[in-house]
Amino acid sequence: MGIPMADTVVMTAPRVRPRLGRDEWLMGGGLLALALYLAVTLLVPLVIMLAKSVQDREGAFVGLSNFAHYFTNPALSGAIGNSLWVSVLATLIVIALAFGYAYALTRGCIPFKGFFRLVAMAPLLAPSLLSAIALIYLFGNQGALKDWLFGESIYGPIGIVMGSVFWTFPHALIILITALSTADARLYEASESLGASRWRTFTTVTLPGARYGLISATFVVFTLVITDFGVPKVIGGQFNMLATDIYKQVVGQQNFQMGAVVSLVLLLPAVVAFFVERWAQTRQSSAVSSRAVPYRPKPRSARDLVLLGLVSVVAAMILGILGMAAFASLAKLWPYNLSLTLSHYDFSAADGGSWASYGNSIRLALYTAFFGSMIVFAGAYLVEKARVAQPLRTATHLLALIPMAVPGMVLGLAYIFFFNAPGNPLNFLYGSMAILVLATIAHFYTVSHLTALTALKQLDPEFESVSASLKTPFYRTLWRVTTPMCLPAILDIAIYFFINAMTTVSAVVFLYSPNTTLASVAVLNMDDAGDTAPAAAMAMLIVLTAGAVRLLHTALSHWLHRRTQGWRRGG
Amino acid sequence: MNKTKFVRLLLCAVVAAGVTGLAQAKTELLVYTAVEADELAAFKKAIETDYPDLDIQWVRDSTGIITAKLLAEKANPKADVVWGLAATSLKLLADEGYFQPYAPKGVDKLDPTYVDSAKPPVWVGQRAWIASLCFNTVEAEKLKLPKPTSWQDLTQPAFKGHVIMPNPNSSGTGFLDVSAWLQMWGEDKGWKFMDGLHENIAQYTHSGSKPCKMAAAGEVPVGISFAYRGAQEKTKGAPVEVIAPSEGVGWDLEAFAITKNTKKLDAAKKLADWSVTLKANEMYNEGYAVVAMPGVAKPVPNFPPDIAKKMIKNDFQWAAKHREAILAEWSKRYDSKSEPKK
Amino acid sequence: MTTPYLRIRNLTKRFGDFTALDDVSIDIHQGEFVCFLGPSGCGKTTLLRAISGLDIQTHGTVEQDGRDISALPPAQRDFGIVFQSYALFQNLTVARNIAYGLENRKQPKAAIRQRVQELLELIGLPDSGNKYPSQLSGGQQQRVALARALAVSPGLLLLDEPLSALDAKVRVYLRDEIKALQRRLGITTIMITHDQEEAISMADRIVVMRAGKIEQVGTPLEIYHQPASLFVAEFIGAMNLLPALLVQQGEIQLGQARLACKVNGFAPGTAVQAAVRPEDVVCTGRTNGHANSFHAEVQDLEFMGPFFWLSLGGGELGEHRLRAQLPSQQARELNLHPRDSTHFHIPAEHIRLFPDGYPHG
Repeated sequence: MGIPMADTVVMTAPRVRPRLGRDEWLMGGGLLALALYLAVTLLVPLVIMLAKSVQDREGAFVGLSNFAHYFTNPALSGAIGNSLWVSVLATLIVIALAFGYAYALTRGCIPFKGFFRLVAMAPLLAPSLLSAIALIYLFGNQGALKDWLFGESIYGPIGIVMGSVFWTFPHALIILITALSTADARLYEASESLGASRWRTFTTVTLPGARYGLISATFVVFTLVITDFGVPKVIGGQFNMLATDIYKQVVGQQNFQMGAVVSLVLLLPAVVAFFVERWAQTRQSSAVSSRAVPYRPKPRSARDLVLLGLVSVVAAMILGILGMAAFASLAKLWPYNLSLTLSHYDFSAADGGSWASYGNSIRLALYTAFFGSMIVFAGAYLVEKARVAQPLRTATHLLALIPMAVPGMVLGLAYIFFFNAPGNPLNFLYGSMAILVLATIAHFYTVSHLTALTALKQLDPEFESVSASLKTPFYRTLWRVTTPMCLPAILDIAIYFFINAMTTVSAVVFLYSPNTTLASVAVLNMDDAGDTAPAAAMAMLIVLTAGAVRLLHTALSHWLHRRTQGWRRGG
Repeated sequence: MNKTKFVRLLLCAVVAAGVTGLAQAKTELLVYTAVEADELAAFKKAIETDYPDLDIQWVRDSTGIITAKLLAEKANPKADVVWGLAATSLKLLADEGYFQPYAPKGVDKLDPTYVDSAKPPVWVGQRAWIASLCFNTVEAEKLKLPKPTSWQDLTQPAFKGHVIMPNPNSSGTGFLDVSAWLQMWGEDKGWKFMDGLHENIAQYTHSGSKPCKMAAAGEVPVGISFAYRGAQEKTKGAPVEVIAPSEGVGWDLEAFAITKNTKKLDAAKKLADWSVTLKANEMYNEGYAVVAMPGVAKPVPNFPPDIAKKMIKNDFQWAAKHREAILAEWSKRYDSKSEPKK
Repeated sequence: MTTPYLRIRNLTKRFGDFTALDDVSIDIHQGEFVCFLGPSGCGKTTLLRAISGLDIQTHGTVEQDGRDISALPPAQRDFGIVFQSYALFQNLTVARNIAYGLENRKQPKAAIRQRVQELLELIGLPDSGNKYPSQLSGGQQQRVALARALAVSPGLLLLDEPLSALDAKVRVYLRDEIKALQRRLGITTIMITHDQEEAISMADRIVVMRAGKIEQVGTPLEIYHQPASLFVAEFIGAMNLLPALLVQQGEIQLGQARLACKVNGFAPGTAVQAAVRPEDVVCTGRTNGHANSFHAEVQDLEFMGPFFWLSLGGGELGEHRLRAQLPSQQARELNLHPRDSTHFHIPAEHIRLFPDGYPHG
């Protein structure tokens, strides 16, 4: 048979339909399962929630009349303006403080940098409610520092802004430290040799270099503040915010349709912020040239003194708030009997939570960390490495990005609509621990997914090809090579899930049942019932647990690093 | 090989589940309640001691929320029994056909004014909880506030920003106050009083306990709450005085009813039977001065002594009928003002 | 003719609207060392990935050893592969890396150990079994990757730019070593490279690719001396390309010079590109003693050690520029200096003509 004969056949040759081997079936199946999982725990609930916003209580389609009612009722729509200006103000303050703090840690020559960094990260361990409770003790009518407010009330926008600044500060700081530590020393040398003043260098080199970091941090903080529910709930007084309105509509009046409407209103700024933040993130990472020379700060006494002052004040405020919360949990009868007692840690008399709630929270955190990091890592692996079903991989990746734009309250409400629908075969999950785990994993999916992707992208892209050529099933290579090499990232993801599961309130507040009350929700409910001291005690328990786990994580990372340094050298 | 192993594991799991299922042949009863959390544990223990086959699962929230929840679940009720919820709310739900009439064994020993008049009764009262003021004497002294003796006293300019009350939308205590003012004084005068009171209110809270707890902590010197909570705080050592205003105080009954179509009717009846016993009534008396079984109530420490005499004549029928309209009117008047009062 | 070991027919690979491989057919015989050579984006990697099944073609067939593997996933094919990045498993020792494919085949542990040791010796790293890849140099790591691929005795070895990440000296050394190993094992091998020198020195046959198509298949000598297209002529080695006119059959006009050449199918009067290797331009000294020669001025002389680069222009060449390679010894004898005018000869068989302008397709 000659070649030319074959040549003539080509034109009509059928398209090759790749045959799938076991690996391909498994990977394709895994991708499909993951896509379904994300659809069920994320997309479908959200879509159903959208639908609810155009229905009445009986489920009949009513067009935009819910929205009309919302926007013509000043008691409701007023919250939009409130939420916006409070969030903008809090964001500006956080960004200014965090930029100074990050600048001091990266560009200043100040002592105790490690300590200051540690202090600044502490709010990550606490539910956002804690700051609000501490602020009431500090600035409330019986507060130690009441006079600092010049007669203004802490209940309302002032308290919300202060509390939000406290808990979002480390989020901004992490981003800004990254942005500022990627500076290229050559630009500074150039600027110096051109005789530019320090201020000019700051405005022409430092600020532009960090601009995407600043944009990114700004939108992250804005989203956190506008979607947060804990702080305004505790300290907001009669000041309505969107997030608390969802709660009021849903929990207070069981008006789910109006809750859906407010959710959509809240979704809008969050989605916009999400896209701006993603844009800034990609710009930030591409802005760093690989040939950049790291910048080493040189001591300058005047600047360093100012920076040290700033950092000390901020650190003192953070410690003050944490310390106040700790004291609040120990004082016998604030403000009349300040002798110390552990009695508030016996939650039996408090309304809304108990040690069982704490146990539930630990269980939730463990399940979330375990299953969450497994699902997220396996998912990121399939999205990044599967050789099959390209469209499915893209779709799955996009699904995984959604949670970042969805406020927890909105997700929680969407879960009620979806899982509590009488016809839903998954209805049995409603009220169980499983639904809390599902919601928490979904709520914190995006950051974990991106962390896993980054780690996987650092591996040689041809591991899977080599493995296939050696006829080794992909899961064996995943287990023996990919997973061990990504272990530090997996650990990071697990700890991220754990701490967030301990501290989160927003999504789970709609989903817990009498058997699955949670510590973070208990803080909220106890405060709601006026049991502020037990609420502070529960919040402190969360802080201590998260802190201990964080320490454990550090130790584990060190151990892992030492154990694997044999092969981690060079890279 | 793997498959057989898996099947074996599965079998083990099924068997294990079956065994544990047999071991706890208890009936789980989902009970919606608005009773204060600190009392629930004791009730659960007492009930399960007398009926070891019952497993009480409380779903507790404030009156408004439990009511709203029950209404929202109307099509597909989850609760087996509603227990310790305001009679006003039960009446309203009963009118929706929510409950199943049942005469608990021994219901005839109760004061008939506290039991639904239908035969058999749809709902049965347990005890009355009564509005009161919690007044922080230490803070009042600092602020030079006079001790209020009547509701009208609270509208004086001196109390501006020093009064706190529960939001009637979420709190049963808040609602019984509003309901009592409107019943005592009629619509016009009642709303006019609330307009004046609103000028002095520092905050409307979610729960009915919180105003008293905040008064006890000195955050706000006067809390509109209920007698039991005030007495509790005083017992704990807070410098509060529990005051029953002179015009009369609102009250509501904590009552129970069995949900129609519950799958656990027998267990629900057991709980109903227990709830009218002498033992139950004695327990009710631990925090509340007025209970459904005559002759049981003993004075409760730190309660205003004359409080029972100040209870208004409460028309549950009227309150249930007008509940929705009253709450809407209240929201329209006071909820939209988002700025906190100074 | 024996049946080819690898029979590739009409492979086409499309990514959306982009055609990365356009109807490629080729035979590769048992034990052959074939290089796919071409600039980046020419389709050589796509072709390799189609052969391996890592990215299966849109149309066309691949047969290996008489078996149609066109649609099979990589795990059901028979090949070993080595990548530019080595793709060694960093967390496993060298020995575990080499044993990786064996362990899956449920062989006795001792047999595996023995085979690994054999391979370690084969690649000249007998004592490195317990080291981690990061403790080895780049060249050593690539040898380990090779051993890992060979461990399972595949019928076909695929090398994806295996030497590109290494520095020049190691590259030349490893080039020889791979070639020697391949000869010894007799394994059919396909290597991708964009480095023509590598291809020429290692391959039995070279497949020159451009824009998804095969430009030419041939031995290194054929590719070098008889480039089938202007592209191949230019891509492989140094080449003078001069616009010329075909005056009559067997004669071209270049500037004022008329040179005899072999013509393949151009009509007289056609403008053509004349391709001449620099080493085929022979300096005949100051007097004209040869046929097929012309005189020109030496505009520049660049000493390269064993030879000089001459830049020629003027004289009969006129505006044309020609580069010639002159052995140092001859340059010494002739005592050439810049601005010298001298005669050059180009043998007729070393002038190849291509159509004017870049060929398409």
